[in-house]
Amino acid sequence: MNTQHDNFEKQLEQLPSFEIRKRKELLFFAKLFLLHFKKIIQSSSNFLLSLNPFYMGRIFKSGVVVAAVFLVLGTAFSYNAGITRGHFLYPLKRAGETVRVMSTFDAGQRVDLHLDYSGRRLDEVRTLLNGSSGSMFSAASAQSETPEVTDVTDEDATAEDVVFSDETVAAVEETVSEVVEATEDAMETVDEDMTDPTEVSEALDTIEEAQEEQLDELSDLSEDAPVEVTEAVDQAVDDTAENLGEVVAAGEAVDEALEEGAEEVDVDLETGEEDVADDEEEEPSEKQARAEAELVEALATFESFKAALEASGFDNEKSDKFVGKVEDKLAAAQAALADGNYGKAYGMLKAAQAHTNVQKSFGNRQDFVKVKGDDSEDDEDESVSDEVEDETDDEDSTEESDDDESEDESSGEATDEASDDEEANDESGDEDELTDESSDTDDDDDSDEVRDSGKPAEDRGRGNNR
Amino acid sequence: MALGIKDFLGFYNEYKKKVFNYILYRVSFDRDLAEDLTSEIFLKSYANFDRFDENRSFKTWIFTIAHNHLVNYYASKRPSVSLDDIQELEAGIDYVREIDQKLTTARLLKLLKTLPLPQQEVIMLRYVNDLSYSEIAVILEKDEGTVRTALSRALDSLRDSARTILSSPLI
Repeated sequence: MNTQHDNFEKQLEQLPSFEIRKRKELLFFAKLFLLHFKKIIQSSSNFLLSLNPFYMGRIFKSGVVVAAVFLVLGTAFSYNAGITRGHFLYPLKRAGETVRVMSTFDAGQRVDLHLDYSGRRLDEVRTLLNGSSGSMFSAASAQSETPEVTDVTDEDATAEDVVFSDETVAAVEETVSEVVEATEDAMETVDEDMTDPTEVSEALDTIEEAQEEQLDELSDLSEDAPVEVTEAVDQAVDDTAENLGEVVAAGEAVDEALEEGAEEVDVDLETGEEDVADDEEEEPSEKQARAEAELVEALATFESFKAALEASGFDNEKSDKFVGKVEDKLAAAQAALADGNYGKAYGMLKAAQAHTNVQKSFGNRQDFVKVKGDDSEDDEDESVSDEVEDETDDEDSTEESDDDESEDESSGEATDEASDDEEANDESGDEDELTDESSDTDDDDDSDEVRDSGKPAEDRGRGNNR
Repeated sequence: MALGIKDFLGFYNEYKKKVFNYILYRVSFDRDLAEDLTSEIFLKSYANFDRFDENRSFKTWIFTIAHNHLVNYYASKRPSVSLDDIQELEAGIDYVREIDQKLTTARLLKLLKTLPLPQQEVIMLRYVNDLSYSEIAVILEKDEGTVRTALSRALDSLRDSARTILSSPLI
């Protein structure tokens, strides 16, 4: 009997299970959100209507209904980074955001909302680039509606093998620009709707913090993103840097106004200047002086870096492009400094640093550090390596191993470092060998390869072998 | 913090398939009907979501609602429905055929339809929905021992039906 039970149990456990059809599920979602909306209205409408009998009119009720529907549905969908530009629910998501901003009366909260939306746009960009769109309905349904990423099915496929459709590229470009636009909306809110110096100062600090973070994330994105969207991402880095400059300058002015006891401030974030009732010529503050010192140091560091690049024989289009970008930013910072626009100078400096971060994608750090071993370049290289060390924690080990390696070489001992470092060490023993390898890198170097790496060239070599 | 729509959607995604299959097997594979009833069950549960105690299991809560909803459905809409309704039975088997399932599945479904409704239900909850004895006990508002006995009897009945039916070609 037990055997028969077991037999039936096995068969019963194997009974098939089925999925609800998508169209039925969508219908369910529509009903669910209507129900949700009804619950919200039920709990809030009595209160609202009792406050203002005038609003009993149909027009008001219709307006509330429409706004609430967008707010509720948009808010629900907005939690999902998988709903990106091109998804059929995306307009609803954005409409929900707009309604939420419009229905937020506190300017400070609106600033926070805009910054939050800026972060969401960044998440959407990542989702688009990863090709992992999903929705709260199901991954399958969302993917069918979202711009597609055609991935090569080969297991060894690298990022450079991923082919992005024109639709996806366009969606990424538009969304990236909206990352900046959202922070600009936050700036505009401060500009137009805030006058209390304390509130303005706090809001500017929040924006500055968000922009700093945004710069870091955008520069990381520029490193990893496919070549088709690099220009848009780089543009966003530049715009964010410029905006950051304006915010910093305005923040400085507002802080001074606060110290002087001003009761109201009128910030003009377009020029980075700020009009206070008793506006006077300002002395550079400590922060400004520090920005100036940082800029001078950055210029010196960059010159060293350029020299190191040239000495390593790394002479290709990619490095020229990078050098050109950093040079432009530092020149702009210098010009801003000369004009006394410390905020813009600071922003440009940040942009230069962001581009320097992107430089990681060269995969030529070993070449660069190797030059450090050369006596003639010693001092300059050290300052550059310090800067790079500050920028990337994960590369610290490489830096340290190279230091170790110099000592080990003098004592004739081979170091027992991680394999990456070993290869770097091997290269650094001989200047001629270095030049040869650099030439090899040049030969193989096309924009795709450089973009894709984000790690030492030898790492990529091993990856390809796999 | 009170549970909100986001939490509910999380529960929905987790249990929609289980509830749908529970209903589907109970309505003779009438897919439209099963989908509508599933939708109604989740809407009803959201309407009462404020009352859901988050310290309790959502699984047993939603299956309790599903069970009651189905009981009400049969009581109000189909009071004269026969468990041995040949048309339903054939519809169920045809459905399984359509989706390219094994013949044994069709035979097993036919056998199941010969059982009394409560026995069918306890089997479905246990094997199709993969619920534990204690969870089934909560849903059916019975104690765990009763559920175990009921399930054992249901399997015995299945065996008896198999003796008489499986010996002859069914399909």
